[in-house]
Amino acid sequence: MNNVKLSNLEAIGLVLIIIINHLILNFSKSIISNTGSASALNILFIGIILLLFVQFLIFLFKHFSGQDILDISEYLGGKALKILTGILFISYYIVFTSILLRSFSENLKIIYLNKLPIIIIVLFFIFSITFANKLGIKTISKVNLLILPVILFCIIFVFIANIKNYDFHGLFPLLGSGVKQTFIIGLSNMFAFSSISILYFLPPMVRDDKSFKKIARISTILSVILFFFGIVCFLSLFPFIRNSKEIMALYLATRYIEFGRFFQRLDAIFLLVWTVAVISYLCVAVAFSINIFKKISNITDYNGILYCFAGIIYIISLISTDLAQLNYIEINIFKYVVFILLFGYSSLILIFANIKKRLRGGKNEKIT
Amino acid sequence: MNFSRLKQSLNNLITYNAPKDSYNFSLNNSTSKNITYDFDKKVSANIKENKEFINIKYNTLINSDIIIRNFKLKSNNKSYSAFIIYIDGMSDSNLINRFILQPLMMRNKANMYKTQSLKTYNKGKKVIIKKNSNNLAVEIENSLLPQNSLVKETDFNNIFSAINMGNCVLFVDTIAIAFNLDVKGFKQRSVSTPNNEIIIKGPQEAFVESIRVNTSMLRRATNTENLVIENVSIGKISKTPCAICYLKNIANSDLVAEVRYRLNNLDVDSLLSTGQLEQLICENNKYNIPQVISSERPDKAAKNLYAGRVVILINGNPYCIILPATFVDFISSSEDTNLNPIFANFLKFLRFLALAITLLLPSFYIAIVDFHQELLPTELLFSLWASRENVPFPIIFELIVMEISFELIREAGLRVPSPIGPTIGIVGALVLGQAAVSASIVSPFLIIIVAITGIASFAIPDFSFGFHLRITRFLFTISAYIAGFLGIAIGLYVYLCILCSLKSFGVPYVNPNSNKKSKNFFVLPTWMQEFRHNYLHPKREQAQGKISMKWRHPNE
Repeated sequence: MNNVKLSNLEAIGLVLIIIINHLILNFSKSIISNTGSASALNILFIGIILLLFVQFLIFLFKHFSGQDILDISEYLGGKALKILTGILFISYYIVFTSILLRSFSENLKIIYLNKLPIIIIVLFFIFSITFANKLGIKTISKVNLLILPVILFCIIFVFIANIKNYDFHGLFPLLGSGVKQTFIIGLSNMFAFSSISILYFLPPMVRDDKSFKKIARISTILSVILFFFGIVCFLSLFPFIRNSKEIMALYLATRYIEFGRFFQRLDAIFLLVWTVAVISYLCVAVAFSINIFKKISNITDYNGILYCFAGIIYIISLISTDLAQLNYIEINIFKYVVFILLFGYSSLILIFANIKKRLRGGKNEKIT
Repeated sequence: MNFSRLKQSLNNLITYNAPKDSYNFSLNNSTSKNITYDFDKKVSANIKENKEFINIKYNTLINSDIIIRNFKLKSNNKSYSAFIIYIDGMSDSNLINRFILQPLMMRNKANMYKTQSLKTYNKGKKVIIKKNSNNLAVEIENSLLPQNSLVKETDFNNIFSAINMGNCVLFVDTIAIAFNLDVKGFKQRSVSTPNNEIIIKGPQEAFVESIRVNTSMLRRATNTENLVIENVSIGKISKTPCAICYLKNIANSDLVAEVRYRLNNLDVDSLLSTGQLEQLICENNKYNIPQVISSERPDKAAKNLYAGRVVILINGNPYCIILPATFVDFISSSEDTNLNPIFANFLKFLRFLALAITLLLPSFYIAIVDFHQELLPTELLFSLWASRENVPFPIIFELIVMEISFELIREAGLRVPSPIGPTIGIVGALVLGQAAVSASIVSPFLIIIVAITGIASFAIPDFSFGFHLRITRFLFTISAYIAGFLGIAIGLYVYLCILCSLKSFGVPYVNPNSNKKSKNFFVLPTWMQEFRHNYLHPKREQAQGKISMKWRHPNE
């Protein structure tokens, strides 16, 4: 899988599909419940910080051309650190993929599959994840690139079709619960942009450093724009209280769309699109988990691992008993894990690796 | 009263009857296993040995159409035993009589005198034509056989292949060479209009069964000396002549080499159709998705040759194989090139819609009726349920019964003699459909769904791809029945994954990111088709100048 080279568009697509899924899977709800009417402002603020962080990442990766976080960990702390980093990222992907899978399945069950047991609904997803991953990450990224325009079109369509329902009073007061809540405590909302985790593994998969820079910048800017408009729409569309409801906000937004007497309930069509988007996201996450495992274990045939991962995801997704538990994990654990792993641990590794490299003689040093 | 019959009956009752012979044939392993494949045998200088070998190989005592004609050949005033062999009905008897037997058997200047005495006069000077009088083979080739196509063969392998193709082979005593003479004269279908790829504007001729006629049509259509037609024979027993055709200044050399490699490494006894070859040379056959284009149109083949693709012709087949192919090629028609780009793109969009309808309409119907009724307006929903009220079957049963009935009607329409074909269609579609609705076996809505799906499937230009879609739609139908739109979404994603994972001769089947210079899905106006598709990596990327209409911009 490490020999796979992704085009710039494919790589950007991988980052975007994660952010889109965060939008679909109601991450906006957590943000809005955290920062209230100031969420839009908060996202703009976070977006700027994120852009600066990505720029910093690009700078840190500059001295490690074509190497991902695992290679850099190995350089810094040997095999042990490489394995530790790998296990942390695999756990992150697997656990949160399972939780999001369960969360979406529960939503599907509430919306229309109330007669189907949750274990069957989850199994459908597990089947598609396994099948797609057997065909490799290149296939997944290509499919992702094919469906991404349709998903984006649908999201934009939902935003535009709801124009008559917007009430921009929802955006006020602009500073919500205050400056501290918006800009200091609201920093925890950065978890919504956990899609940048992919950037840590992209360098060996893209053509060159120039491509990586381009991908990182464009995907971050697009993610921020998408999330900003998403939050603005949700704040304008639903009263603050509705935003904290269990069901997916984007799904609820589609329920308001109607064109004349014939098209009055189009939400099911969008549900189809959201489902495809979620499958794509799950496939991407599992593909990266397998990629990491392959790197830390040096295995060549990953089919066995794929079945193991699929089984683990299936089991973890069925552990929680209800949506409330899932929401608790999303709001209280996911946020901090993202913060610690993506913005703390990984950047520390990169910083120390850069320092080590500088001490050892900079660019000319060869990494084995 | 008939006492004799009574007597006979009594006799049968009391007398001993021997057990009756029962005829009980069953096919077991062949009793004669002395099959030898000594194809490496070379032509012997002893004519008797050659003849004996041919007699055994061709079973001349049993085979009535194998003709062996013995005669005495005269050369340098000497007489040699010789024979010709050909297949009756495949060779032109008149050509054999006039241009093989007559020059060899009749006395003439060429065979009466010794070479040293052959003299001719050139401007009054006596010139002796120098020939090696001892070399009978050269003598026959140069002086005795007035044939334009003569190949000296030493290997029986090639000799049998030539005879089977309609050639005549001459064996002469004392020389270990046979003369392969092209005197083909079998009856064949003349070039006619295409049957299955009909277009309104554009050339109206199609390939025929003869490979030579097909190559000549390609030559005429391409009209360039850069067209290379390489011969390959496939099949250990059938040795079917095939031709790899490409433009040497455009087609990627690696692609040509790969095609050649795959064709030369086929271990099959026989090859009789393009369909067989398709399966043998494609990387992945398990999903039944066609990965090469099959066409009966020389103009389409020529267009693809100019795009940098490779065309394979097979003797005995009025279809060529064009490769590599991408997904978009299967919803493109030869008509596209001949139409205004706006019309062509509109038709392409319609075909894409037809593809989506063929694949997804039945499954959408099931998903909406079973799971997502809210999508339909209330009035329509009431009407739908009212129409289904008297139908006792579940919707999936209803749909599959109708889909299979439709497939049966289609298959029957193809197999019955052509005058009855339309009748089957009318009886099947109108009468049966109406009767099924009246009998409350199916709902009228379902008839509409099945009919639209059927019509849409006819709009897919490629037969194999249409077939693939017809089969796949059943899987979508079942997944929709199980989980509504969730089932369809999973089916769709898996299907897209399969499409994206396929490669046709190294070219991704679906390549959304491939066309930076040339558009793949949309048909561009001719003057904008500046570049060839970059996924084919042709030797000449540019298909025309930056300004193709120079008359319009003379100064640029």
